[in-house]
Amino acid sequence: MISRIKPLGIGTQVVVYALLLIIALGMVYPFYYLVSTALKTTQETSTLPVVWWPASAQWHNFVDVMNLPNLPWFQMLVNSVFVTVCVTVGQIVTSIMGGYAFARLRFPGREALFVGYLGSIMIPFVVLMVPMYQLMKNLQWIDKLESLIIPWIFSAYGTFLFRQFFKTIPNDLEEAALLDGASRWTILWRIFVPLSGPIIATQATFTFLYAWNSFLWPLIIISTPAKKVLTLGLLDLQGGYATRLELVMAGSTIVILPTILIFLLAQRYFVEGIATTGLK
Amino acid sequence: MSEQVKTVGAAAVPRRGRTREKVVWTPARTREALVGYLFLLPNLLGLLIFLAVPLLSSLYTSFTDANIFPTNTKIIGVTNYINAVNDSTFQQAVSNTGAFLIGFLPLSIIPALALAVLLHSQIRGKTVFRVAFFLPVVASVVGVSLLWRWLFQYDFGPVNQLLGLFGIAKIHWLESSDWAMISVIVVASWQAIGYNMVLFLAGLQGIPRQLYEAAVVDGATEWQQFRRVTLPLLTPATFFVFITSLIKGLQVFSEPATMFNGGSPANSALTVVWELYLEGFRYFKLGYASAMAWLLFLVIFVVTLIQFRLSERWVNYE
Repeated sequence: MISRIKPLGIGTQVVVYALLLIIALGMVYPFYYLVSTALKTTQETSTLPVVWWPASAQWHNFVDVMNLPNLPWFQMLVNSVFVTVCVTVGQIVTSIMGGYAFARLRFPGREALFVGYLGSIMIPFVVLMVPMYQLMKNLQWIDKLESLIIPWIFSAYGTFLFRQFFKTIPNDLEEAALLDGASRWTILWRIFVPLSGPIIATQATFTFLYAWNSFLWPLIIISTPAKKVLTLGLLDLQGGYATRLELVMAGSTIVILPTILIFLLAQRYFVEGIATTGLK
Repeated sequence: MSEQVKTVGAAAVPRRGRTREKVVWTPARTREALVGYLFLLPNLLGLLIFLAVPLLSSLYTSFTDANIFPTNTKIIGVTNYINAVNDSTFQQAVSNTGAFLIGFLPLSIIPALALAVLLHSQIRGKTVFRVAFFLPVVASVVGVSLLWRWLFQYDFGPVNQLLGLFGIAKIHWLESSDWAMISVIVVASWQAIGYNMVLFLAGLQGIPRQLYEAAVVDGATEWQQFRRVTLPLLTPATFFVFITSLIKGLQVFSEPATMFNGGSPANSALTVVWELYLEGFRYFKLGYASAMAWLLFLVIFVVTLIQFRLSERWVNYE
């Protein structure tokens, strides 16, 4: 451990910085490669020595990838955005309601149900895959966006998180509102939710991330190109246009960039969200 | 539901009161209970339909010969389980997953710990570094796996170019069965380090400053402080990181399936979940795939149980 009491000596500092810089380069370089390649010409992607930055940036690659025959990339982008927004909003709403019920309302069976919720958090998705597929088939949701949204707007973990947070809100506010004749519904949305900004932001960023990046489930359910989300589109892009690396990388940039931007904007919530997941 | 498994500490389980208070069902109290059920209903219904019922149904399916045609499904006992255990492809997938874990666990945990310790010291620009290390975590697994596929490209991929600078001969990262799994390990670890680092940083923040002050007074060197103060007090974080990484690693799928879309050389990067996916959704042997899923679930369940047990014992909560 580098002591936290005395500041580091110059020598140590240089070594630490050099180490950190080298590792940071290794972490960030792939993204540089991603964006620089997305802006190259086809020829520049496969010449030696490696072209570090294209002679002139080919921004039209991003337009070209949207206009490929047999690969409705733009439609897939729309699908991805739609699915992600629905899942995020839906999960937050149901988790807030469930979390409030667990935290503030007394009803028979509450404790038993809550233990069930906690237990269900550890169930891995792989055991649910086959029956979920059969269920989607029975509902005739195969190859439909419903299957990417509806099953995913319920979260035991989100409910747990909101319950924990709501438990920390003082009783007085709620009691005063109840005396004034406010309904529980009003109390939840007018008092509790406005106080929950940070936790909502944390949960929303994580849900957004999982929904946007989800792959295995769409892979099982969706096969029609026009119904696909971007993660599936990327596989098709790689499969059909591997000789045009700049297009593959432009596509990858479109998939990767939104979550990076959200992370940069909501950095604090990410870090806090992870730090509180289980370390207690 | 999220595809990723999250673990929650045992401390969150509510204690049942020793004596049950007698509830007087006044109209207000009845109303409160009703409202409670109503608020929980959407959530509860969803989890029942999309989690509890599928869970039971998957156990049942694992004892049947279910396939793409829903008619004529017969119960065949533990045949699927026996077939899976005796199947050479499944055995290969299991040993591949084991090989993945042997590389992935140390490579994603030890550098994360080192980085956390470095970033916890008094240096400028911490935030910038933290952001840089964390970037891979948020990026789409499919996106970065595809990206790395090109970084590993034999002729003009940057990885081989870099090795060339040090006089190392080019490596067939993706085409050789010796290197395929190593490539997967590199990509997965690269993506996991930042996540683990943040967990370690949170753990480091919980170590009281006075302990270091006392250690310095006693003449402890920096290495001794790390060995005797930081590491022991970091066990809860280390343990948590280890368990979550293990559970994640056991289910590795997207990285190999994207990097080797269409199949890895001699199936050298075929993992358990990938094999499960192929049997279930390429060949539609739904019963067989369910049996494999339950075998995997059993392992994850045991790991989680061990976590609950051990986290009560040797983890140092102060």
